[in-house]
Amino acid sequence: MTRLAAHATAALLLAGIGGQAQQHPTFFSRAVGVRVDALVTDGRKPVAGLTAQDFELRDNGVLQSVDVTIASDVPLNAVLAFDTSASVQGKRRRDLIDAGDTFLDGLKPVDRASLLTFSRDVAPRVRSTTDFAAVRTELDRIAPGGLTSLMDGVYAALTVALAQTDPPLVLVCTDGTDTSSWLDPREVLEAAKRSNAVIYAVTSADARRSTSLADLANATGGQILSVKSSAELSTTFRRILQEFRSRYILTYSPTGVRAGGFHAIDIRVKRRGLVVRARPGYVGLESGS
Amino acid sequence: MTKLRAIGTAVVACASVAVTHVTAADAISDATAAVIQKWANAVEVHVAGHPDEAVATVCRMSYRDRVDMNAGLDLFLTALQGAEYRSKDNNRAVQAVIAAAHRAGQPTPARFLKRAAILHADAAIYRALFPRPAETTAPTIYDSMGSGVRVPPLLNNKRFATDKDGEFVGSGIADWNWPFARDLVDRLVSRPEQGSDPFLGAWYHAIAAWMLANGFYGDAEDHLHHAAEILPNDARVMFDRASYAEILGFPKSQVLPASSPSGGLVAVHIPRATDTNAEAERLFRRAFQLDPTFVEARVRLARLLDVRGAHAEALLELRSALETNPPRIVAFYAHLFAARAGLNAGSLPDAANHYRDALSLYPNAQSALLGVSQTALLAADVTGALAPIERLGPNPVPPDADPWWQYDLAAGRDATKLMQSLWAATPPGAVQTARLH
Repeated sequence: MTRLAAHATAALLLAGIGGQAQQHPTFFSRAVGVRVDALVTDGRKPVAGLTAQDFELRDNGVLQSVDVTIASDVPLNAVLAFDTSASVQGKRRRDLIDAGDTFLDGLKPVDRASLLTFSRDVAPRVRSTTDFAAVRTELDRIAPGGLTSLMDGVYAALTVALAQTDPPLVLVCTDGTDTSSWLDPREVLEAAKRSNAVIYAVTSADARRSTSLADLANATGGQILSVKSSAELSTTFRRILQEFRSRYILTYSPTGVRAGGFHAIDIRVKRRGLVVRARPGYVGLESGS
Repeated sequence: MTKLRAIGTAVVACASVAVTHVTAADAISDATAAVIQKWANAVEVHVAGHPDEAVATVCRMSYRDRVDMNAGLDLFLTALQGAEYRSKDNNRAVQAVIAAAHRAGQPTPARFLKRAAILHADAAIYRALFPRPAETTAPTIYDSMGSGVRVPPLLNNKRFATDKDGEFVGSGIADWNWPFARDLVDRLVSRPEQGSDPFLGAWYHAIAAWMLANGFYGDAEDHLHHAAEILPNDARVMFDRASYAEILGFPKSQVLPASSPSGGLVAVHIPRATDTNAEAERLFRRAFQLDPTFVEARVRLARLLDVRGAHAEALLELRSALETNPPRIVAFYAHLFAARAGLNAGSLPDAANHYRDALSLYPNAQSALLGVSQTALLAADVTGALAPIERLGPNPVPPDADPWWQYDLAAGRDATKLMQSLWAATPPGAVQTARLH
């Protein structure tokens, strides 16, 4: 089967940094290219201050010339995908709403947020907006009930993220496992490989750890985190936002590699002892497509 | 609110508890005669499908009442069917039971047995409307593996695990009315393999549908296992059994064992998905062999073939199914599964077409909308991938908007219609004034 494209918006890349971090950076567009978000850590602590010279990126084994931007220098696009199934009631509901508010508190005026909930129904509630009050209003309206269409919800969130040009963070919060989706994990993983989003997933510790969700997070260079109780959600969401802003955005136009098919990406930093977390690859468009 | 679901296969006793109950060998007492007479009267006056006083009478029966009744039940049912009973015991209670049986057996024993089976089914269905009596003397009989303990249906106090949205939440006691009703309706045939009375098949199928519709999987397992013994050549029974096996293979069933507490007396055991899917595949094939017009059996079989990796075979079955111009909901399933099988077989355009055909049948079906989006995404059509997602609104849609949400109901989709037909087929009660008290 011919593997088809990473989506158009991911292919149309914004690269380079102009101006200072505190002001709106100046960007220029390049020809079709690839953007990869990477988190660099020393132990558990994100590493700051790296530049393009510190990175080595190989696309299907071929070294590429990259530009590097810090995620905090560009507007963030957050897609909040929250489980609102029957088990999210009472205190869990309240804690989820509070955590969502905490997350929104950490956004800048240039950032954008959207809200999607999933129980059995997948419900896009708020489109990407800078009007965080609208998101808060919808958060307050969450009425838990029904089964859990986790994979369907994650797929919808990834698709919503496709429309964003700025680095999309898909924040999935669920306390259970999938009980009613149509799409299966394999299909959603294929979507994730074609997405530009980074998935951070938060699950409750007493839920069976979803290997599917872990696979999705890993495929996008994100992470899956467990909380012992819903009371920890606010702290966790805040931490995710801080970590996401500390990521680096590497952009490049692939050279020396065939356009189509799956491209394995290998990113290293020259300084020893640091760990890089990034998506393991992407699906490229065939030439002439 | 997600219904709590009893899971039958679920119960595995860690400690075997077999409690000796009062057997029929005990004397038939005045209490036995009284409770049997009261019960027989309830059978005669019950209006099928209604939570009436007859149902209340049954629901109010305590375990002690059932023990008393059980002592004389064999005698009653033997006499009901006209067998001559020679008793060395001329006590008043024995004679009263025999007399009650003879009255009940007019004009035919089958009339009474059918009515009784309906009464007890209705008592199980409407149980929640009546308070359960305090069972202070009731032992809990765990269905321990290999114990060989045969519990009289009337005294069944089996435990089942219950779950909510894939999480084990506890256990409960199964309703004795179901096994007792089966015991009664099974007496319609002199030999199990005959099953010629159409009421029998209709009863088993309608009750199975009701159980699946309401998530009573624990009761459904025993019910369907028994139905297969009584009606081995009934396509509907095969279909129901296959559907139950298929349900066990779904993620919401497969996740349950991990959530059940360890070290307790009740644990959850669900067969592996590959095993239960193989069983479902076998039974759907059998249902289709018994009734070649049973197109939904063919469609469900195809889904399992695709899950197993036999994509081409699945597509053939689905193509044949669609050529029969099946009912709308079955056609939707066929297109949905053909889309996935097409993707698995490497044909994106065919998959996209099938998803669009599914959507044309149910325009608000979330499953089909996601499928259309998915095939667009795979074709690098971002606009095409986004548009269906935008059709998913912020407000919940009716449950029947997406047939995939009803897939695990199987025959339960038609539970109401099937039960109404069954109630309509119930023979009339005896024309007599009966006192329930």
